[in-house]
Amino acid sequence: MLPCSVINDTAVKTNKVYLLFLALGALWACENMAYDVSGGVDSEITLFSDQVSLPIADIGPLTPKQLLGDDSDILDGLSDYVTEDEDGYLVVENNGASEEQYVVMLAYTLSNPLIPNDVSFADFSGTMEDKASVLNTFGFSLSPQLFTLTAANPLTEDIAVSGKMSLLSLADADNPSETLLSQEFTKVTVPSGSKEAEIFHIERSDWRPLSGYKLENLFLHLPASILEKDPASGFGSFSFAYHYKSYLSLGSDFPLSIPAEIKDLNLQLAQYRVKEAKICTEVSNEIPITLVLDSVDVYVDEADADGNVSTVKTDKVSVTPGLTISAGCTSNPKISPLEIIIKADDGTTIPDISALTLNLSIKAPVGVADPRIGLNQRLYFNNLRATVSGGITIQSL
Amino acid sequence: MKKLALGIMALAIAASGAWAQEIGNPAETPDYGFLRVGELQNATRNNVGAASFLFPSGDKLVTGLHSSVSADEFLGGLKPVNSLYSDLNYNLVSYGWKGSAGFHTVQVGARANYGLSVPKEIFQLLKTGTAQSPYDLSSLKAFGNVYGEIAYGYSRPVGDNLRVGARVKLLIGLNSADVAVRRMELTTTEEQYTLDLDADINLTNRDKKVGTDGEGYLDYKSFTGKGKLGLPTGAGLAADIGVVWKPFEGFTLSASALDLGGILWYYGNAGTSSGTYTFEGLKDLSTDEMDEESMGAKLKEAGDELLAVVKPKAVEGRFSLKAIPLSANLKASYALPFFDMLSVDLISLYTGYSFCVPYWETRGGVSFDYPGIGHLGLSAGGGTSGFVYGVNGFVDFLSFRLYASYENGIGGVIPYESTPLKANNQVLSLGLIYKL
Repeated sequence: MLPCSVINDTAVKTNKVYLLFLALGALWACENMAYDVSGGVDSEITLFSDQVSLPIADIGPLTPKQLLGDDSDILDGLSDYVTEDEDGYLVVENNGASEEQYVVMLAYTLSNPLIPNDVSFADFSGTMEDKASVLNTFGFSLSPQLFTLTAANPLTEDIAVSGKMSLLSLADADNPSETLLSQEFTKVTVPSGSKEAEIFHIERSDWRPLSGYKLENLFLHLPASILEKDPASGFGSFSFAYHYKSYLSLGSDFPLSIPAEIKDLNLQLAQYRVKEAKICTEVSNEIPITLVLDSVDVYVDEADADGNVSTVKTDKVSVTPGLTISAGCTSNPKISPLEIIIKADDGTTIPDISALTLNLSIKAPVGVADPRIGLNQRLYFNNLRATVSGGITIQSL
Repeated sequence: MKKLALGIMALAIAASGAWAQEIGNPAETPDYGFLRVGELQNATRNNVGAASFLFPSGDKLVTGLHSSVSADEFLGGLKPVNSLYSDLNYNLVSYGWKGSAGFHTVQVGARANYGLSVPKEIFQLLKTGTAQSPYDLSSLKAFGNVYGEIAYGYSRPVGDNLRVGARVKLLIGLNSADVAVRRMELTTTEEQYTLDLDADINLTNRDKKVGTDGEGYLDYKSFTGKGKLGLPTGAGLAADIGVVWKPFEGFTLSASALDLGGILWYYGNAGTSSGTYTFEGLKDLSTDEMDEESMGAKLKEAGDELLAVVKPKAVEGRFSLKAIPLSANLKASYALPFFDMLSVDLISLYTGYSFCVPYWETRGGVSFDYPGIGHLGLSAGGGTSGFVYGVNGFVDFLSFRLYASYENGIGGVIPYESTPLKANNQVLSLGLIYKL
């Protein structure tokens, strides 16, 4: 029975006290001490416990020159053997010129300078510095090779030249030097006043490296009265020159695995307690080199009992090996999907990472239309994105 | 006297709800004139409680985002739309008198309400990650309104068993703010994040005007004008209607619909956030730009693009007609024929909001009524918030009547905070009536 102030004094007293305590008791009883926030709430949170994916960036264009840097040891080492041409390709070049034949001297040897004459010119031959052997030990090939013969004509009228061009290959352990080409050319016009008129040119990708050249049976087919018509040209001279240029390409796999060290990385990941991270991208590659990431060594800082900190390799974190960036070529890049998974051992999380060593293999391109290696060839990391599985822990928002 | 004071205190502390609902019915009028001053009713309704966000773990409390709380445990305790609503109804003064045919009331009061709705998807995104994309966040809303009421009510009998009543209220808008999201969808894939947003923010300005930045976005750090009270910023009408039917001896059916109407607000500080933002990562990042400064600049650029969609672009002030929270009440009461001071009651309530999840409940109870002395009612039932109980009562003293009511759930509260741990309906009403 509920309290009623006038019905019964005794009952009122009893019931009102009962009601008061019931009310107060009910209020206290409603307080669940398990939820007492007066001691604070742990603000640590773990976000995205299943997984979170995030687009990161499109990175590029990157070029070998940018990647290697101006002070690159690799470029320094190569500079003794190769140069960069105007388009950025790595090339081996060689130039040479014949002796000059002055017009006035030549004119005086003519029995009858008033008529056209065919004048013999001294043979012109030589050898080229052997750079291919050294480059070949690193898997580089000289391909394609270009050989160009030019002539200078100081006269004010055209002349013609004839001769025989021979090109010799470099001897190697399996093959002696041999003549790769022996070709005659007949009455090729050299325009008047030209200094480097091309009279012979050949480009071959299937040749062994050239070691020498020989220009024989050279004849200048001179017009009549060369001095009479243009006395001033007597001070000029006839000459021949060659330009040898070979592009660098990777003909066979690079024999060594190249460790690319990324030091002082100092990735403070431990605090986030990440178990697994996946990084995906599509690599667009114009560089005619296939790059394989064989393995990744992960280094962490560890302190010994005396508190001395050293950087040591850890096997508690694995990185997916066997990633391949396929070779492409200029203006025809090859797209390679790339997926790198960084995973901590079961029951652990990824620690702070001090340094990484990327163990890379460089392999020869397969099926690439243009194997020439250039320092301006472009590499893009498109659609770079990351997926973190197992959550990201932070101490508070 | 001391006993009486104790009784009053007990009722004031523990009293509960149905009575407060009854006096809202304009057809329910006493058989005496009255003057009521300073009545207060505060209702707080939440469809999830603190226990959905806080979890005991060992000797400490952690949030639902802590690794020790599973996704099922955290997200399972949330509703698709998680709402909090609070309404303060303050009756400054009301006066009632008997006319020749009916009963008249005039009333002046003020109302203040606010609410917040947060979609579960936000917590799902934070807890589990981006795999469940897309996320529909359109139910993210917030509002607050303060308005005055001037009401006139009239009730009269129709026949022997029926009494009808109505109350017309002039609503004077004082201040209003809301964030109304029409469309907010977040799509998260590995390749891109896309935010599709269409939302309005509305603030009444009174004498203060929010400034704009150089690009026309609302700048909340820039104000012009003084903060003094100015002219009303909205006006509206609302009506309460009710009926009391006593078809036979001892049985009473009371039904009412309250706050049918709305306010036409003028929002002098209004903005619209609209557009689609897509983030596909930082673009064209070259090696030259892979330093902290350049990356920061790129990130800022992306952030600015996002802000261009999210930040409200100032628009000319706009009018908006907004309904006020309405409620429908039904109470059936039957006085026991063998002891007519004791009644059994059935009480139902429905409250609908413009922004929050609707609330309803049904309770059964008993009430004891001793004419001239007091009344005490107890009820219990369930609804949107689960189990709910109510205690209500009044005591008559000379020409005064002090009433109080209290409704609550049983989920408990955070110690010393009184924040409910579970979904809850908590209504506290206090008032003093002077009988004329």
